[in-house]
Amino acid sequence: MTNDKHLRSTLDSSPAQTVVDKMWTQILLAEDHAAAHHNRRREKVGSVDKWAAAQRFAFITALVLLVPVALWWGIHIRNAQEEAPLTFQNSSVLPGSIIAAQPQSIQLSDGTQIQLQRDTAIEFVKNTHADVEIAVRNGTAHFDIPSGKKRGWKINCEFAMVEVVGTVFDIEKSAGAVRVSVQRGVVLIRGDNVSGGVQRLSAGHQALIHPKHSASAQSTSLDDVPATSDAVSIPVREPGDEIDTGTPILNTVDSDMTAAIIPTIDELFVLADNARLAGDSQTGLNYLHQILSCYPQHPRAATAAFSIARLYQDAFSTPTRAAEYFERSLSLGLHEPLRETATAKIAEAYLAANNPRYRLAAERYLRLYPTGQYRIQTEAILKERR
Amino acid sequence: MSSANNIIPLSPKAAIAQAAAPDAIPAHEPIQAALRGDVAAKEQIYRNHVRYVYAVALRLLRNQSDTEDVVQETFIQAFAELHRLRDPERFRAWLTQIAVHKVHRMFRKRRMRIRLFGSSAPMDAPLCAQLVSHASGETRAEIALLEQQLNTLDDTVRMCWMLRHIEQFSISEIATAAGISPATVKRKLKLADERLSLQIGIDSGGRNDER
Repeated sequence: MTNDKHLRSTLDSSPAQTVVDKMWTQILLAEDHAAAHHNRRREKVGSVDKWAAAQRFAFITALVLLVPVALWWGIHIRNAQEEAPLTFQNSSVLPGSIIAAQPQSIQLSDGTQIQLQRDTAIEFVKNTHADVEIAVRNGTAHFDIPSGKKRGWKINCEFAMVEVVGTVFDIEKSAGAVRVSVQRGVVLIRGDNVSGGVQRLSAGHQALIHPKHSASAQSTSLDDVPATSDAVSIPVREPGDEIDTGTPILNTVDSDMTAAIIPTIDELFVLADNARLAGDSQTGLNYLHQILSCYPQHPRAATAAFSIARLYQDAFSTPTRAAEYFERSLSLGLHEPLRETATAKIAEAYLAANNPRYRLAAERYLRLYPTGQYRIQTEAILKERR
Repeated sequence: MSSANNIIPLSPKAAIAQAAAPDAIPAHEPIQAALRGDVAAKEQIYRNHVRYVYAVALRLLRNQSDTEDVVQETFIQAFAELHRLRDPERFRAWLTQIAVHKVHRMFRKRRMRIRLFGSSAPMDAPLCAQLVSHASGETRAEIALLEQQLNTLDDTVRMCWMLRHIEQFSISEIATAAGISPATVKRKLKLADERLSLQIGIDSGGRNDER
């Protein structure tokens, strides 16, 4: 059995005729079945395709028609709202003036909210689609005007005009002064009594405008002036008035103000901050020193000492003096969180002055404020010098 | 099959002639007609080639039911892919390749069946049952011994050996039909030859080195 041909010739593996016929029948059936299945699938796929195409066409057509209509409608509604004069939120017409016998909140149709304190009087001078002018005759008003509106707002405060677009601010008007405090956005203050005719006031700053004295608009940072009951009103005192705490040594502090007026501690802070904001650190330093001199017992004298220290540290680069005034602010009873800052800054100032007391100061900070916000910097100071 | 009454066997001469010249039947016209969807032409093609395809499949599978399945699937695929046939003169070789490929798949199915169910279809058409009626007793004994030794081989190895030594396939034809590389075919043939020469003295005579 070593011959392949012999092997092949001994085998007969061909099928019987009945098997051949049976297989052919099966093949024909399978082909028919496959053809039918193929046709069914093609018809199904075709119908699905047609339905999907119809859906797509309908969707795109609807989109093409609806989008411009929706855009037009939205623009139309917005323009209609913006072009109409302001009303109350419930669409009732605004009166010519409002005098609040009690604290009152007013919601306007453009989303503006005005809160009036007791005995505050305002008057709607102008109300069109482009401009709104409100005159604050007396009292305190808080304005929250939403941004993104085309309408320009003007607040007439008799001896100053406040122009705003989308901001939050307070206006406090008395017979002798107007104070504008901005909490969000920017306002422009115009008036003859405003230095330079116009002043820009940004968020966190306030301005005092006096009618009697020319160019006496003074701005300061709200952050640097802790809120006290004094901040509600700005008294303009005449000679002979009593002073709350301490007796001022100086009668005049600003050439812009009349000699008859004795500056309050608030006004000295305003003047100091105004000078600092204007870049005149030396003048600011002088006003702060005057606070310490005039009101050494006043609770806010500590804040003045702290501000002096910051000026010595940042503007004059005299770390020894800075450390001295930080220490003084602590001894005057500086409140938190400035107290923690001052404690940390003492170590920083001594280090800058190469004074070995930096170590004691740093250790004191870490002992008093083990989880304080300056912990990492203070620890770095100690490690740096090891 | 000679063992069954309803089988019309090919004479040994005819079988050898058909195997030696597999592309001898002109196939241009029936193939062109079949491509146009002519069922009669398809039947003519089928009847011209079914016995050869069936014989090859049965010798490899040794199970009538599996063989019928393979033959049917082979012709269904061939008719479905007739447009891919480049040379109608090579129709039988192309058809045989399809059949062998399906046999190879059937082997895989059998292995899967054994793994899943522990048994597979019984071998109801062994080689000794496919012998011509006039085979001598000595031949029957030799074929029985050969089959016994072939049964010890892996399905793929056995298929390669049978395609090479019984169906007279070239190495590359086996590789194409079985979906394995020519080098793998050679390796399997060498393995089979070593086993069979050791057991029953069959010698390939170096034919496995050919392409």
